[in-house]
Amino acid sequence: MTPAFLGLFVVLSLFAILFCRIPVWVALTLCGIVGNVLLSRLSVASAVAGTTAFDTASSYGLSVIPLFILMGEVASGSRLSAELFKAARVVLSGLPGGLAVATIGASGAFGAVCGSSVATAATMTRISVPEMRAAGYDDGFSGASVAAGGSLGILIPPSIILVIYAAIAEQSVPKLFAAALIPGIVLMLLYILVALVIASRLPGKAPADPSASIKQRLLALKEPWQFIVLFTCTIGGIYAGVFSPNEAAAIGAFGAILLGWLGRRLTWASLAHAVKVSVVSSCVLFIIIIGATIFANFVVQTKLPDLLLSGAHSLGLAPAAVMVLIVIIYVIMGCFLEGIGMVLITVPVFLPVVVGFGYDPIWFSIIVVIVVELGLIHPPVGMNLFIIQAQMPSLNIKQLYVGILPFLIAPFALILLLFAFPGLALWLPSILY
Amino acid sequence: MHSLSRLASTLDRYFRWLSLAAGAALIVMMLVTVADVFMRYVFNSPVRGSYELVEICLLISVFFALPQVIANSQEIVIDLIDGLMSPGAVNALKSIAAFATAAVLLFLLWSMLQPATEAYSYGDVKLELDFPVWILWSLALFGLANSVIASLFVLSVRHSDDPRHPPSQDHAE
Amino acid sequence: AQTTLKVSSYLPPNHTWQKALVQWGEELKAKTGGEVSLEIYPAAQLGPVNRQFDLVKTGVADVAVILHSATPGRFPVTELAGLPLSYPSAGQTSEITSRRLTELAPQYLAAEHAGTKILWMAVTPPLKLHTTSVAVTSIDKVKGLRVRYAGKVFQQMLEAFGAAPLPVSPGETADSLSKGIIDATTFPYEATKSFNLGPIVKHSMEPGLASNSFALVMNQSVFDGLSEKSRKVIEETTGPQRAGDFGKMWDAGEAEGRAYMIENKVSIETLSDTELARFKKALEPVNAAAIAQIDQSGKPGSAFVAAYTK
Ligand code: NA
Ligand code: NA
Repeated sequence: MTPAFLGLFVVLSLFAILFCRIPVWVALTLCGIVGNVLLSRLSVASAVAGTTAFDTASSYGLSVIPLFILMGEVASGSRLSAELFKAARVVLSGLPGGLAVATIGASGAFGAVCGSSVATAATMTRISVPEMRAAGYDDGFSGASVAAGGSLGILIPPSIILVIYAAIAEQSVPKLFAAALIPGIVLMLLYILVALVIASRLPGKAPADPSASIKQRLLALKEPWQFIVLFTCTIGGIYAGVFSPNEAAAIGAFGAILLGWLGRRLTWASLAHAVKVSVVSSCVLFIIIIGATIFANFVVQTKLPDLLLSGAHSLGLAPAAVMVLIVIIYVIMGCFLEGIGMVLITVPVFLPVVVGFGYDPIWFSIIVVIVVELGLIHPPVGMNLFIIQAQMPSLNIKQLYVGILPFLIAPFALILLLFAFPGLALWLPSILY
Repeated sequence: MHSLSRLASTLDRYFRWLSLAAGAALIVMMLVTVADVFMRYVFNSPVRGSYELVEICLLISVFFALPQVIANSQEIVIDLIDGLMSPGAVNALKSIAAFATAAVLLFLLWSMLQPATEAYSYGDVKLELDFPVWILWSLALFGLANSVIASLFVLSVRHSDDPRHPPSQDHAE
Repeated sequence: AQTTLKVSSYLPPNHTWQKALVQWGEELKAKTGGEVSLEIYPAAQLGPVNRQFDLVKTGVADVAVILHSATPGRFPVTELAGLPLSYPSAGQTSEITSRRLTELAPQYLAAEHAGTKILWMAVTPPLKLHTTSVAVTSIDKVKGLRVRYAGKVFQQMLEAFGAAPLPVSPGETADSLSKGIIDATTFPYEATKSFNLGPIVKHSMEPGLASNSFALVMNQSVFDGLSEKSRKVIEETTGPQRAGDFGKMWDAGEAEGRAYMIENKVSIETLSDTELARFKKALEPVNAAAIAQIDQSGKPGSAFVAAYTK
């Protein structure tokens, strides 16, 4: 067996054992180790595995992950997210489906301090689903708007997926964060558009809300000042070049604690809970990164990416056709796989192909994040849908599956927009850096 | 059965203490970075070795949280197949997963012994803190050894078919 | 038998090392009649910079480019070649320093590269100090400057000059300089273009301050397992001569980078002999302490420095 075919064989085995409920990190590590044993020998596999675990867990660049998670957890534990929703609700009242629109808007804003989509969705579920139920909203519609809004968490910076992508692709985190901002806002607007259309075309889904006065709206805007301070000091600091992403993450977490404490909204217990959740979440992520790094070490040596690249060349495909093919593969995988693992497995294989066909790796990072987002809300395996269902057991998963379908149009539309206007992603980094 | 559940609660408490250390490391990581930025902008003198302190804290927070993550089966799993199979078959797959987890953790532990001893014999140090790297390896090995214990416990409980904690949904995609 | 050697490098594919490796690989293939060829994995594909030596020792790779300063404490004697403002009396071009270090390797450095065969060593042209506001014409001008550095030697050196060393990643340097977070940075000319320093830097100081050292090493048992003919070809195509030729490539890149800076209207300030002496004097205690520390551990620190700077 040539190395490339061994690589293909191990990749297929990986998918097989992933489906057999082997934890993602175990499957990746196991396939990486076995692959290296078959390709070289046991001592080589052991040398790679032993050092990778240590080096990954002590990598300065990756320390940004637990810190951004902590920032999001503290912001949610000190009810910063609740204030956002309250404000958005008043400001957007009177619109058809105003509560759903407010949910998406508040999720987008919360995504600006939280690096994770699942965490954003979990937070917003607790806050806005009960309100929408009380207002007589259809369960499927309200759950779907939280799922869609929550998925903005990884596109609007900070974004853990982009940090990981930067590490694999050797790109600058600030540049990727800059590239993601405009597409993130566009996607938020597209989701809002979908919600507006549903609410106005299918009146049963969302009863009308009383409209607030201009004065009430302006007053409501005052509430989330802390959120604006936090965002300006962290992500704003990265864009202005005042802080590195690591520093911004630490200052953001610290600032969130400080604000919660000053406003008497953060108790010791909720701080302890936020720390505990952050430690567990980041540990769960780190073991996946370790597994994926071991796996990637093997895949690189099989020269499988080269095989794919030369295969695409020999088929005479146009660059755009190759990209469309890659997006389709991602969408199919996203139906079944979990996002971080998907990025870690595929980016080392696809990135050389994409760059080989003349596409910008920064532009591609945004495409990757959007397909991961799509995967988060796409049935059957949509992590956001599960999270919402887990927190609201009375919500029917089938209703969610149906409710989310119209929202799926938005990320697809954004991908098309990015193909037509790459500047959506590339313009901001080009003027900032 | 009784002694097993006593052991379970002792281990649970022990692993919780370890993850407390992981949480403390995360807080220190945050404070060191904040102090570094503050000292840099206000006094023009950054905290010496702050990068390396962050790396050390990260290492502790990952390896000391791992035993609890393993013991509570909090790893991300793709459980798409659950609806399509009988509960017995799903349980069989869970046992295989527990076995694979223990095997991989053991392999990692064994693989880390050699670079750890080399870090000791070469005298590797952290650049700015002049801190011996072998101490970090010892901390990592300690966390990993406890994770092996956790995985063996999960495996033995699986075989005695004790009801497990439901897997948590805490993770950050 | 045909052997393909796996070569690991943490450097990007457009780096001078990559070009040198490709060139050497072609030479090997031709001279061994296709018996030995290289398969190069650049950009840290097989492992991070601080693991390159381990990769060769454990056999993950057969050959690797190692940067000595990436593993502090592991190559104490070799790292003395990077002491600030100390270089062979013949000159500080990479051609001279790389050749000299490779010549000294069998006697002084083989012990700390145990388990591997040193193919050749390389010393970078010394890193220059680049500033945005002040022209550094005397040591007093350095005092209080916030300077981007990389590595302990640079940190100690800058502190000896009274500057405040700040760690900034290479990619963020241009940005930090233009926003005034730092006032100066240490970089070889050769790297200034790829990090876009030309438009931001106003003054560069000469001579350069200190260098980094590299080694290209091969797994010893892999080397011993090759045919006699192949071993002979490897011996012939590596060693001091190759190191000198490689250094020339580096010097050419340095000259190009210097031209790029001049194009961007950077003024180059050369220290007068009296000022250079003041810089050297400030470094004396630092350098002496570094050498003494190695001597105390029973390694030939001062003997090596004497031989290197001769
Ligand atoms: Na975000
Ligand atoms: Na999905």
